[in-house]
Amino acid sequence: MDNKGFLGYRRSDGQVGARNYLGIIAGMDNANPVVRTLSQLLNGSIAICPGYGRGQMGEDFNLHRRSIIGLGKNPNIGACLVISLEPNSANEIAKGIKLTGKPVATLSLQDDGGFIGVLEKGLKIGQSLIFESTAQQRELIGFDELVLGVECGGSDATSGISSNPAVGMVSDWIVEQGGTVIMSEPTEWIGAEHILMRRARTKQIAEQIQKCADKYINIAKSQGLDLLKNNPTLDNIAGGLSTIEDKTLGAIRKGGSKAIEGLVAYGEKPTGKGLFLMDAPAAAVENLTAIAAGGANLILFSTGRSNPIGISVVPTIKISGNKKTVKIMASDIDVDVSGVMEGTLGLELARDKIMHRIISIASGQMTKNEILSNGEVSISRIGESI
Amino acid sequence: MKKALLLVEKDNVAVVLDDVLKGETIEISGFGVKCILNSLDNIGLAHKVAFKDISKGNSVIKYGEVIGIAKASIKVGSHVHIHNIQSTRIGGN
Repeated sequence: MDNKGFLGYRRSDGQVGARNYLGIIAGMDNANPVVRTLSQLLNGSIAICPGYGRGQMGEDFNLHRRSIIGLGKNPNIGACLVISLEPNSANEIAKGIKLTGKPVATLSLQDDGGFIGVLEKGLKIGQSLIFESTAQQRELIGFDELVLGVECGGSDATSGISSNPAVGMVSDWIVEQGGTVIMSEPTEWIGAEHILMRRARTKQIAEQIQKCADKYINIAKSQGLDLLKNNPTLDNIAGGLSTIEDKTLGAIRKGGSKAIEGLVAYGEKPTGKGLFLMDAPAAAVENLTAIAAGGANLILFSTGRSNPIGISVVPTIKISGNKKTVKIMASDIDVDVSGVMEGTLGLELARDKIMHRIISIASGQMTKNEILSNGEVSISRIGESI
Repeated sequence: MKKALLLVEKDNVAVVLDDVLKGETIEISGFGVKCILNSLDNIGLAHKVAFKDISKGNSVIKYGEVIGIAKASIKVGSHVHIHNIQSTRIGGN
């Protein structure tokens, strides 16, 4: 396997990008339309419209604000333009993003002439930011600087046998090269928390893993859903999954088998290298958003039946071992590992196939969902607005 | 001959890649391992076949981890499922 690295953008704060966009960020939902309009006019920009952002309080507000800033800080973004209703929130978000050293401009609908005023000023500022930031060239970057998110969605019986184990071998390999891997979806740890806890670097991290899994068990319980009862389900059993460990391991295998160096909050950046867990729910867009806000420069999305969605900030590579899905959803799958199910592609070769695609996509090849602008952003809500 | 996949080197079960009938031969491969065994049961696609003998009370290993404990002694080539293994956690199917 070619292990020299990929061609990426080195950022002034030491992070590396696989893309070099102007991120036009809506600080709150009332700025979404003007952000989308601007982005359509500015080649080289992406619209980041997380929704909400008004009337939020406490931990819910902190999570939202941390995640917006995290998306702006993501190394795939070379420069930012933050647009909000009033200047204070735009300035606060910009202040957080500026810690990376990247250029950040702000506009507000109230102070900059409403929709048309923001559009006029935004075009000028945006053009200038893109002109300057796209002067940067790609350079060779080692895998020790890669921050890889791993996620699975639209899972089926093939996921636990082909795409997840192959992605897990990539995760292990990236960690062995000194890189970073982020795995979230705590509801998928349930049943194998003890295995993850055993792999935790410290006792404190093990306790956090337990607490995080319990949190989701209790959230489900408060809505009348018992995640531990009849798990695996009758469908799972018919599909060959014998115990809850069997089912859960098939999902968490995508994170590989290395020691767990920490558990970070939703949208929080890992503090070091190696495998990190993140407390973010399994719903694809909320999860992709959390991982992107946590600084991932690339995401591997293992799937069976396929969920085509990506996130504009981070190239999201779809990998499937389901022959039928690969055929009928060819417009959405980037790596075909269905040979594993046929017995014609060993897992080591499937890993290498994914690695080759990683190198290519991290170096500039577009993913299928990037080409189709099939990306979305959604930050989880953990409280109510007033 | 039917095929089965070893998911992790130290596993004692493999996953069959097709529906297998009792008496059919299964070729198990992965991680440099290649061996042929006779199926002692009918085994459905994606279900597990014992790749090694597993004594009653011993661990069933898949994904390199313990997925359950053998409720009875399991011979090489047997179907490994809810009738002969149980969770170490909950349910005890």
